[in-house]
Amino acid sequence: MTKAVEISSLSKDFGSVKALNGLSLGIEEGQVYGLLGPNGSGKSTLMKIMVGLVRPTSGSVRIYGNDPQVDPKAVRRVVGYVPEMPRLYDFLTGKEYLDFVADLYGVPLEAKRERIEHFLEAFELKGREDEMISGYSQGMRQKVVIIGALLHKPRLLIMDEPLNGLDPRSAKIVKDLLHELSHEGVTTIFSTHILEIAQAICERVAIMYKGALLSEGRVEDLKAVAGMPGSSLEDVFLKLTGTDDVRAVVEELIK
Amino acid sequence: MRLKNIRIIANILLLSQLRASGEKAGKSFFRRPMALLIVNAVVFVAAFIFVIAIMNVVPLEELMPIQLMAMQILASVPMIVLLFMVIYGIFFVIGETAQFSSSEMVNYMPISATEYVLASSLSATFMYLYILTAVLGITLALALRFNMLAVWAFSALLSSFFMVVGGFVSEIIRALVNRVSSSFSKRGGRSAIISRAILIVFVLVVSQLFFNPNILYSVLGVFAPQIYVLWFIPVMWPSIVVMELANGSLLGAAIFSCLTVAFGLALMGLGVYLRARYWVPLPVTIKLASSKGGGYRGRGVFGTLGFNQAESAIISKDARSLFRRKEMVRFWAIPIIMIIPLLLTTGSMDYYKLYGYIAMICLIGLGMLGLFLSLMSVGQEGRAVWNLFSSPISVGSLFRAKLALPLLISLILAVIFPVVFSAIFRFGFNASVALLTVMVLGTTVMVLVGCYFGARYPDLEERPRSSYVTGTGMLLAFLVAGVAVLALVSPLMVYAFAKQFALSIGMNFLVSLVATVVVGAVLIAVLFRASASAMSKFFRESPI
Repeated sequence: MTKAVEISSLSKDFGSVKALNGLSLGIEEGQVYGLLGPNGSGKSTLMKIMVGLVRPTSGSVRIYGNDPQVDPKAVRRVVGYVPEMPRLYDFLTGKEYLDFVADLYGVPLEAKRERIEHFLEAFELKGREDEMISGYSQGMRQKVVIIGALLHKPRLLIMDEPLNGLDPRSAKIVKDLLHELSHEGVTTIFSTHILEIAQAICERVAIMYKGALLSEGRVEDLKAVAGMPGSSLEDVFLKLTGTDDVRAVVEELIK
Repeated sequence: MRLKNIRIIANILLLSQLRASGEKAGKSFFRRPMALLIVNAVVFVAAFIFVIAIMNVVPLEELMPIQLMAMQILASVPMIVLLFMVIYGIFFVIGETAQFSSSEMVNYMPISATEYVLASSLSATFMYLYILTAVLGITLALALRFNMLAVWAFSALLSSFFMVVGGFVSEIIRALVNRVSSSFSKRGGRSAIISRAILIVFVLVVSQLFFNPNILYSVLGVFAPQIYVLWFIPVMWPSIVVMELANGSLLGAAIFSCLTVAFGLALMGLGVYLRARYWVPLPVTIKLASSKGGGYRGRGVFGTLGFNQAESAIISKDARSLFRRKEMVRFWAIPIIMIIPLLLTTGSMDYYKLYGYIAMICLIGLGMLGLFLSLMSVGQEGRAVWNLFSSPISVGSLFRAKLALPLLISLILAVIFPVVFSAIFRFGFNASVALLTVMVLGTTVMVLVGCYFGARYPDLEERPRSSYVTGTGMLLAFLVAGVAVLALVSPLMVYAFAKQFALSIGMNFLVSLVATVVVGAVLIAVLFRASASAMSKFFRESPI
């Protein structure tokens, strides 16, 4: 299978902080790939490097054969990106924002009209699309960003905590959509802290810790590696990241 | 009410204002509240010494009008201080970024409205105390000279009190505007945005006039003798106290002192009430009707001008930002604000003065407009800048789009202004051509300077009062723009103001004009390359 993403010995330093430490990873086309890891493990930095927002200190990234540092335009043309805490232009209406994003990606007038209307309907934003974003709730904003990432029919979706703030219906739509898109060859990389979701929709997951890759593979493989075949992904995650001292911490807190 | 809470909140609010510009936050000595005390002391001493020095050189007979007005000046200080604080309150509301306007700690922390209002007023008072210390320094010099020290002491006391009262008024304004703006915006849609912009421009023009020394002096001259006639207006009470004291009427002074304190307490009570009643986070929902074609942009005006789809989208978005964000209105209001004093003060000028004055006002007004618009072009993206960084646009496109709007707006005005003024003031052909040339070239130069420093020193942090460009960037931009424009206009200035000398070295009008055009072309070429390079550097890696 074609590799959608190839990452080799990737490191990123922010001053004395090592956000990524020699990370190597390959993601095949059409996969739904989950990035797991505690806060500060480097997931968001990795995603930003893939989009070309952040320059790596060393190592290389290839998105469908293109280096985001060398040819960012070629990479961004095929990528749909949802950042962790997306700030939008509050003075635009939801529809104006989507129109703006579609124009940045060069979507023709008729196609953008059709797609935006279609998505607004699906995400139950119809009737609110002419309101300025400043009045939108967090969930509505998240829906707008997700629509923006899908408008130009990307080959690769990079989504950092995409289900944050979404109502159950919209979250289900996104999950099913990612599943359907993977059948059409669209690759999705998404990070989440909700391990049940990762277990339910990801074909493969990578567990990151302190900028390095702890484990990577199918969920069942990870359980086997951790020697916990019958356990949940949450237990495996806590064991692999060395953060399974939760009980002791809680007991200390309630004293 | 806990005094400790007030102290802590006031300190936090003060720190947030002192560190608002973001650069080296907390490290600089001048970003600490204690440093303000030193600044205030220095301002007081400097103002005092400055006025004493002037009065020592000015002949006694020329000081007579000031001596006659000294009492009225001392009596007016509390009112002036109050008005300043009110204007500060209005400016704060105008400059406040929308997403911060209703998200203050009073809403979600265990703090009472009284504690918050007191703390906020005290922090605002302390932040702008240098205005009071400057005025007190000036008036102390006058009081010493004209033997009014006791009156000055009382005026100082009342002014300090009114500074805090002004803080209460600012709180009232902020709470009311927050509420009114929420309800108004909800119902008004596009017309609400336009009305808000017009209101802000009006307030800015009035505030600008208030700080115009000529106008202030005339107003004082007319207003101050009427203090007793207007005794029923509460803001006059401290002035009456000062006058009564000067006249030796202790009873009158005591009565109006009590009234002044009661007025201050009433305003505090109102501030607290409005905070508690209205200062709640209301989601402002502004609905705008879709335009023809369902609201989707086709090729549009900018497409017709030759910009590609992405560039047109960015230009349109920035244009909307300029008119819809209240904190952006102050930038495009600059030429309007500059014209008012021009219209009020040109009456008695001869033609030579008028040429220079109009050229200066136009160039400063429109140049500033262009400079500010381009300086803010990158920084105004704020944390939403990821939208540009993650999209497939080239640096060239981004540069063209960011340059286009400030350039288009200021160039259109740079043509209209000289043509209209030349017609109104009946300038000759040479003067009109010179004015038009200087305006077009000067505005372009200033836009490019702004574009360079805006991309080089953007401030993408989002705070209650975002500055969009760092302090260093702003300062350097002003310096470079000043030097560049001076270089640009110098050939024509030499011709206009030292004609004999200019002609003696062969610089007739045509030669001066051509020299200006050449200097302008060189500056534009150099600045264009520098700005493109700065934008390219900025676009290399997302700063957030």
